[in-house]
Amino acid sequence: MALLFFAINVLGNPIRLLVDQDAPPETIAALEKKYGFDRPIHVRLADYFASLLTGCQLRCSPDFDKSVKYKVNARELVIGRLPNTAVLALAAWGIGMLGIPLGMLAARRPRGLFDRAVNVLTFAVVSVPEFWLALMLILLISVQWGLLPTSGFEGLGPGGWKFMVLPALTLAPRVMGRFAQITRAAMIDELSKDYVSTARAKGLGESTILYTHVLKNAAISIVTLMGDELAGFMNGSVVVEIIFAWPGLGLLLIGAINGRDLPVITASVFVIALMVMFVNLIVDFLYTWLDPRISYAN
Amino acid sequence: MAKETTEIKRFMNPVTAFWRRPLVQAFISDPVTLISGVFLALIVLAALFAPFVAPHDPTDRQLPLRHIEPFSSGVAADRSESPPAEDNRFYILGTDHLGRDMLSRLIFGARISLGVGVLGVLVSGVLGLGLGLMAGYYRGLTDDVIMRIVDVFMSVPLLLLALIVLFILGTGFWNIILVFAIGRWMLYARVTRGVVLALREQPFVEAAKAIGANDGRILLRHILPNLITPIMTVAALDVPRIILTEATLSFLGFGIQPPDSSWGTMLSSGRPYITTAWWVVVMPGVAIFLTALSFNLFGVWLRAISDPLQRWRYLRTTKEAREAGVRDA
Repeated sequence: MALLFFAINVLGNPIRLLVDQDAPPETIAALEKKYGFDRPIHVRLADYFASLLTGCQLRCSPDFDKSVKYKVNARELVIGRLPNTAVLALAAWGIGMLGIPLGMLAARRPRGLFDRAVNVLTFAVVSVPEFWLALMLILLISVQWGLLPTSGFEGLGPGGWKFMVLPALTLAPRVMGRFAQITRAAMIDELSKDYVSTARAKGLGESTILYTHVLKNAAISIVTLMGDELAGFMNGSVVVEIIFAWPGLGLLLIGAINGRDLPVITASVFVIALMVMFVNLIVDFLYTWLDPRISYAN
Repeated sequence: MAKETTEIKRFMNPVTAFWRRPLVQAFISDPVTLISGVFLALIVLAALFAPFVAPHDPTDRQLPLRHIEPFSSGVAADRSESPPAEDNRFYILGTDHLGRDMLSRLIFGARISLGVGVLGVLVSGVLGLGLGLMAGYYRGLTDDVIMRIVDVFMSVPLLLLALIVLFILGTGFWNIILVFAIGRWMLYARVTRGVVLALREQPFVEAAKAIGANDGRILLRHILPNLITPIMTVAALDVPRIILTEATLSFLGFGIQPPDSSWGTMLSSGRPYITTAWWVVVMPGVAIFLTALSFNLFGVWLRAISDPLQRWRYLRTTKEAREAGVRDA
């Protein structure tokens, strides 16, 4: 958040972003006074953090929190959009989980034929630009075959599933590819460890070793690396929401940037940063569950 | 009595010697890597020598020849308005909505797309390398401060950072490079720090200190050369990511602005015509996809080959070793 403050206040003049390019100087001065940008920078920084803690945006006053476009409280607007993005993310990550068995099978024989195929396939899906995949899916499934609507949104209820298939299918391959790559690397790493040889020596079946011993130990690396992927996932989510007109955080943010709606931009970035922190927290808790040796208590 | 020693020297043809080198052998014997490497070389050459390679002028508008299908010539199109400047122009990948040759535009677009990718990696790499060296070598407070900043930057989605910075500074080639510099440096800082932490305890660093080399000399002459391989690996895998992000930014209208055009810009400007002229959207997408894929596959091979634990899987046993009875790995 401090980053956002410096970005807005040091790199550029926020008021210039709010008004038209050819606005008269008097208007700019008046707005600067209104939003408090005529004050010295350290006062603004303190005010900024105080306002974040108390739950307002730019400056604590009902007038400044309101979205310039929607005329409602920016943070409520953002939080209202949050479930839509979250559901899309859950659907994509649910499908993406298929990458775990793919990675496990590939790890059984590194550099084998299956592994090579999975290697090329996973890098292929990771290399596809999401917006392009979205357009191709629309072109094929919606336009050519007329199976699903091209874009839109009809609530998260049972009636809205039609609109969710294509966005989820666009986002899922990359998640799946990353899951497969990470699982493969973690499994190969684990399979070279001594306990695997011990298990094999005592006559355990290969699948028992894979599923009960190795997977559990590899899960820690998988969880860590996928936690890092989440920030990257937001990139794709923004684009997909725009193409499919899915009313989530990404669409709101782009609209706010294009409409120079500073309160909404601040609120969206704040909420996204909170989400990333929240996921990191969950990852930390998952560690202690996966590996009881890790403990945060002294 | 003079000792008679026979020195056995084998004189190999330099060309065959080059092909026999394990690294070259590993490169040639893996078809996937070979194809991606050759493809990358072709793309880079095409971008470098774009004016000589491109069949037509990428800015030459031939409005009567708009949206011509791939593999057709200009004559086949409807020319009811004014006759085009040149007859019998053949378009391998068709033309766009202004009648510009797609292939030429793609070749010139490669300059910008690859330029952003390579320059972005270069700038962020140098920045991250410097900070990582400091963090790893001096440790203590310097390390703590730098690594906390790394953590902060790691949690910011790249596209979000890019959108906000470009929103504030405005779009443009160098601003996009700046975005990648501040959005990707921590990757290199992390890797560098990890390696430096291990290296600074090595005897050769101790020896250099004992001779009286100062910190700058140790860092630049003794530690830096050991960092080239790990940094190269990270960089090779980050180029496709940057190319994809630049394409996304340009697609959203925050990236490269016309008249300059990257592959993302081309895709974005072709989007309205997707149902009538599919190639306008498909071709730039394929270009982005194949380039990113090649970089990824080549990068992952580079990583495996530079990892002592994985290398053997990629190296083929040499002829001499096979003759000595070693099996192919």
